[in-house]
Amino acid sequence: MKINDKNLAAFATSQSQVDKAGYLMKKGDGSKNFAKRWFVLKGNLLFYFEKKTDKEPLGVIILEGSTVELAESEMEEHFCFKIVFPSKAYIVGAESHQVMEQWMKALACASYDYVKLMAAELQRQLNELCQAETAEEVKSASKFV
Amino acid sequence: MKFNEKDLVQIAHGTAQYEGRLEHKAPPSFRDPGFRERYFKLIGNLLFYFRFTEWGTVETKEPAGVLVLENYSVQPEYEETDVSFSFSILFLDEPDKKHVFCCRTDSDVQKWVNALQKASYQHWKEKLSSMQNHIEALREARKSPFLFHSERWRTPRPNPFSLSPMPSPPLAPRRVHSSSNLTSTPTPPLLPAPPVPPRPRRNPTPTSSQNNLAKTNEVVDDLIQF
Repeated sequence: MKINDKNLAAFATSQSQVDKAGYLMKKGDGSKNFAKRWFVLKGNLLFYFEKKTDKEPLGVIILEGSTVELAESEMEEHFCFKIVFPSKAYIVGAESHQVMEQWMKALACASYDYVKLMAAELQRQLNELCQAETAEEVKSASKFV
Repeated sequence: MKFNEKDLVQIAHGTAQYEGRLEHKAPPSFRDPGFRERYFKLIGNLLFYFRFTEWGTVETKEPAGVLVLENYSVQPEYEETDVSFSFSILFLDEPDKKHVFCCRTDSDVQKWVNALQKASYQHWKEKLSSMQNHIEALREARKSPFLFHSERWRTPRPNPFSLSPMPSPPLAPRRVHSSSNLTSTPTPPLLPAPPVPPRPRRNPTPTSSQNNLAKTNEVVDDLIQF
């Protein structure tokens, strides 16, 4: 499948808002070895670079349809979690429990559907507030009749 | 660049926000420079395209490709002289390399442009942010009339029979609703991503009493003028 990777690479390194960034240990696709990678989360796209200063990501994980779970610690002194897809799971290790928790939270909220649901919820709240305001105005105005 | 291709194939089989047949002309650097008919499916910020078989059916097994829609702009296209009813997508890192798409009717162009303009994740994040600000502002505005209302019974009320116009009545105090303050980021559980967003934590906004007092005084002053 083709993908517009040049545009993606530019997006990954652009000035646009980063939701979360940091070093994590990533387990190799075929091997059992972990490698240190610089991860950058922008929206529902999780890019990973060999190092922080690289201009081009090694890869991107499109987070739609994934879930985030704790994983058995496969690395000493690291706290592991996994990003689970129907086809495979990416196993990642953080250097502290706190960092692991922060990443898991960020990734759990990262899907496109989630942000759209949040927007729908806020819209509902906004409508409620506006309707209530109109109702109150009508009520107060009627007092002076 | 590596990407999770198998998972994308799965996503591509899902329900699209918008889909249809379009003629697509990729930017000149791509291998196929001319127009190719493809079947497009817009799912979130992913624009998948499928090939047609020689019998004219869509090859649904796997998309031929995907355009990830971030950092782009979409607009109806009027410069293509040999085709009518078209629109283009350009990515901001390569603004001179346009993807041109052709439709059958002008209404199709409008529908595609509308759908594509709202497709990026960034778009929804910005919308979320502006709504949060709006809700915050409405809730703040609510609080001061409440304070004013209690003050009202102590200041002399304006004469209803005077000729000067009545100020618009203040909003009656609204019971502070238990629904939460959404400026705080929701904290989902550490387990699988929730399909429905969890009810955000109730977190009352710290109100600046100085601010409210100033606002109350302002409103009282206005009333005294009458």
